[in-house]
Amino acid sequence: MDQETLMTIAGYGKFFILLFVFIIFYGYAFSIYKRQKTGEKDFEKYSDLVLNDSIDAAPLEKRDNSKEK
Amino acid sequence: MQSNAQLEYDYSVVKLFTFATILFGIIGMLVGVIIAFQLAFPELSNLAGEYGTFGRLRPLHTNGVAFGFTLSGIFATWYYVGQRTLKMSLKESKFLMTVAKLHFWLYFITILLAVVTLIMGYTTSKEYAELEWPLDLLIVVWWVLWGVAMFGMIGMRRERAIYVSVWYYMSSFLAVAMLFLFNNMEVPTMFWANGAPSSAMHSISMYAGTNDALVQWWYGHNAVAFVFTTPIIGMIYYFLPKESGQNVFSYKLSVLAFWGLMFVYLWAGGHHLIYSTVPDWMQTMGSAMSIVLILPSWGSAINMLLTMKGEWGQLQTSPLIKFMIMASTFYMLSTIEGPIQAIKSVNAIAHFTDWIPGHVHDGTLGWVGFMIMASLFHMAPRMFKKEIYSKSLMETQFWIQTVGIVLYFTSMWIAGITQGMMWRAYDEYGSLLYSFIDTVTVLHPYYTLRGIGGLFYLTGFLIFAYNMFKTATSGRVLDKEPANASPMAS
Repeated sequence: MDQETLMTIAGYGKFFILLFVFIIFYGYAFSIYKRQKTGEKDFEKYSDLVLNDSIDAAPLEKRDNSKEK
Repeated sequence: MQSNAQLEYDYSVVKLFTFATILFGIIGMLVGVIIAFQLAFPELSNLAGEYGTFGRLRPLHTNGVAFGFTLSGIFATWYYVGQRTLKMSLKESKFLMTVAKLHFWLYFITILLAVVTLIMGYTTSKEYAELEWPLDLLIVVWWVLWGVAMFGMIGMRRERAIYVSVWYYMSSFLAVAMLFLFNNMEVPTMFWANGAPSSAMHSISMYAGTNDALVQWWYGHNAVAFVFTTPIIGMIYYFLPKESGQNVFSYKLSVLAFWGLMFVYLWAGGHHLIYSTVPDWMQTMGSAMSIVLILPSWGSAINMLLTMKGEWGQLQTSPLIKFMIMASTFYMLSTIEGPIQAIKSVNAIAHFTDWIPGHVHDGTLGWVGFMIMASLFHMAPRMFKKEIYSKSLMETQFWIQTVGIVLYFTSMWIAGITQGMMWRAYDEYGSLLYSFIDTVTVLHPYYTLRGIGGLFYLTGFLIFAYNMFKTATSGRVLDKEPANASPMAS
């Protein structure tokens, strides 16, 4: 294969990899905002993890496997 | 897990790393000021024989501030933020407590050994990876210990959701592990010397030529990403909302900025090798990815500024908020400046000039330094159970250091662009107009200004160290932990 063909393949490869990642990333962004809007999941509540961080504060989402002795 | 009725967070490891942050900060910054003045006044290089030369002190400065000061700050805040957002205490696990303490002591010994070996002249000559192979092995041990402590703490958590700051610390752990291992692949010459004299400390890189340069800058630039950026973002996502009592403006944006940064950063290192012998497409990619990097960087920075929406009054009343907002602002400045320098045509002027250290320092002094000091100030009343010793000292420190940073980067902007233009200037016959020494003469005042700027910053850091020491020893005792704004005596 000559140098020019290699460069062409590399160029197209780069373009499609970027396009793929672009779609995944913006698809993820869209899904986050959609889930928030439809009320399926509230992402904003997680900032409470900072404001209620004392050890005796109730966990925001308790872990199922944390067994109290 | 125990009942959390009488349980408390454990800050013993946090305190140890806080001490290390201050100690290595003083050493690293002092050496920085010395070498800045050496560049302005070269006769200062001869004061301590071979031990005081620029060549030995420069790696001591970079390693001291990056892996001494900054890493200690990252570890101190990790053991604080980690426990609190995961709602678990190190007291609950003897094993994790032992691992965390071992992590500290091995780390501390390594950095002390780094100071000694660099002064003695042992170096691999790879920028930011100068430490020789026995120290590299030690680093691997305590990095793994940090990972054990981190994932052990995450495994023991009560809170199901993992806060975004913890994601940033995790990314730092994973990325540095990968980068460090690949870039420090080296062969100790002693074992393959066939009887020829060889120092037990000496090694050579497993890569050569352009390959070495590629691996080196993939590492070098991502050391900036995963030591100077992601863990510091982790800090601001915890400490700014906590200190101001405000919810993060948009948690969704914080998650998107995280993934954006993770994908883009690892491709940007090629911008260190523009116009070199690496493949052209790699240079273009490094340049393009650096521009894209503006988006996730500004995503986080703007998220932090908007977190203060409606609460800007706090900027006037709290020097701690001032430090954090200024840090975020310097982060924005630095992350727009870096991509500009990575554009090929700008890089043709900027490369190898003083504009580059100028850029690095508005990031490290303004963003990293301010954020680490602010985090330590926020943690002090909680871990020592004492009021911060002096608010006015904090104000003084803030202004001295801000002026210091401005002096530093403005002098380096002017110096760098002057230098870049002079190197390229030629007459109608194509002959260069200036020799190298002409640029050195012209740059002298700017080098002096940089030294003065650094001295201002160091002075501020000593004020910080004094304020922290007085807080721990003679601050007013608090009867309960402050919820948000840190209490400080006037």
